Amino acid sequence: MAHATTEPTRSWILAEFTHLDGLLSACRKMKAAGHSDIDTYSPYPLHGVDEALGWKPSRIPFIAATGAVLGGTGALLMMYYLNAVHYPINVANRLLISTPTWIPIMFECTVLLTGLCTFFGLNALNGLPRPHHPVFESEAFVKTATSSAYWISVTVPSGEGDQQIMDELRAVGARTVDLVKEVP
Amino acid sequence: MATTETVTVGPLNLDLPRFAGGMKWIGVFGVIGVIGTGITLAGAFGGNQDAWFSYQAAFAFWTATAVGGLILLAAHHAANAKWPTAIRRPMEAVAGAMPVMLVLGIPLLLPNALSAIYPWYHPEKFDAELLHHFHGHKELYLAPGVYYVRQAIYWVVFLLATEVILSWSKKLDEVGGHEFIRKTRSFSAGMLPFIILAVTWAGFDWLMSLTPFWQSTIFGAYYGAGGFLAAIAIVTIACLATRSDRSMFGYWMTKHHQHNLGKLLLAFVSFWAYIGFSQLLLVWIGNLPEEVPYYWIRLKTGWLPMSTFLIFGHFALPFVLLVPRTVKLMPRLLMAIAIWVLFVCMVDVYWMVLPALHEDGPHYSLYNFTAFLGVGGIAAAFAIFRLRGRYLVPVKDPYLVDSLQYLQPH
Repeated sequence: MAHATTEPTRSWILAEFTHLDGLLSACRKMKAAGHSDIDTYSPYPLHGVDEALGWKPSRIPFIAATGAVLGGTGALLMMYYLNAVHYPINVANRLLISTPTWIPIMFECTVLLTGLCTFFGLNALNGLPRPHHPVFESEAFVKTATSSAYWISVTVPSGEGDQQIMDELRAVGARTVDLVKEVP
Repeated sequence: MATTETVTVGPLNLDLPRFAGGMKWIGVFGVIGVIGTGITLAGAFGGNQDAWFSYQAAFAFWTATAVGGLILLAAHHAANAKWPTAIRRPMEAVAGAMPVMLVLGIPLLLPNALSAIYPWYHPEKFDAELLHHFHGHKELYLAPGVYYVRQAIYWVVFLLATEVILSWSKKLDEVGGHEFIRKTRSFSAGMLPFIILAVTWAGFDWLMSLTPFWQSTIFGAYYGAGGFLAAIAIVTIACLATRSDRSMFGYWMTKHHQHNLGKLLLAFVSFWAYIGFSQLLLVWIGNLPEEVPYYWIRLKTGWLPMSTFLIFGHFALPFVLLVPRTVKLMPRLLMAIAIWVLFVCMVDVYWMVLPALHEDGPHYSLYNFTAFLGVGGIAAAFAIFRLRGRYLVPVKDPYLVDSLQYLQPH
């Protein structure tokens, strides 16, 4: 385009650590420095990152609970409509509203909708599916982030002290520090 | 306060004193127990059927609870679970009430009791059709002699399992090492099937045969699940109630143990509901004349409110409360839920037993309360008494450190 976009471009500052402790102290330091867009990447489960970054508990339980309630009541209403209103059948003279026989289906639908809501809710909260992400531009990151190392990324508007943040990350013991810039 | 994950106790050198207290609680429970049991048995031997049925229900409930504690203990040993080591003692205490349960059960073996409680003791009172069915199918199984033989088998299994595990636990406190842990592991794994079969048949004998022409193969599991849940509730209550005293197990219970107890409560509230509902569903679908009356009495008469109460109080309410992680980590709330669960487990056994006597609806009597409080009081006093002189944490258990450092996976 001929004219420059008014939206500021962003930079991703990436740092690689060999131990979880280093990653956690980097998290705390970046958090204390006032950066809000911080993320971590590792093939290992990371205990303590949520606390170090001060993340609030996930919203996924509420999404799952919504699915559970919708599934359960939905199945109840469906069976009421099918068995008692739209096409009532006398089964060995049992009641038309035969709740015990509905419960297995209510249970199944509860589990199904809870599972679906959890799956899609988790994907939505994580911004997935997402085929490409700027951090993939860093070769060092791609090399070890999914196999052996602990990575942190700090996202800041381009040019706002990139170098200073990189120095700070080196100071807390980063093995590799890399910078990815968004092209305007 | 409870220890945290940074606890450093060193290798098993906890200098805890042996348990020398508890006299106050033994006194309180003992007095409640003796008075309650005394009143109930006096009423029973005086010919009051409510007293007999209440006593039967109370005995069945507290025995199932002791067996539940035994299963909990044996299952953890068999699985070589390390996390419950710090809070193993309350499980042992619940199981430890077993001998006194046998003593409390003796009145129910007397002809007076069998005559007052079980219709099969007087087959001559059945009408012709029932008598025909009885002769064809149940006469031998429900003959008093055979009944006594089965009782003997159950108690041999229960007492053998309890006493061997507890005596090895005592030895472990003295010598440490892996020897007794290993022995207990093998023994528990071997005994578990027998314990579970025994409690299943005990449920058939004690409760299901109250209505001798009704049967449900899942009944024993339902009965056992209630007792198991009650045992978990008691362990939870005991741990949460002793958090401030360093010599007690509650002090050593970390939030991770507490979380696990909450999860066990949640799991077995669900398990109870699953078994209970399966039983109802099979009877509902089958719609057989000999199976329906059990639920007819409970759903079409004055018992309906109590049945509804069980669905919500025994399942829906504790389930919803126990789902969030934060609730399982709140000591006071978890304590309240555990006490509630223990209470509804009693109501559940009451609901299994008393409709056999009053088919039109509940007739509350003083004996309902004296029986449950009395039998429970004696069992609790005896269980606490057995803890005296023991360490309340298995101080020499090789896995105690693992237990104290246990972290909740998340």
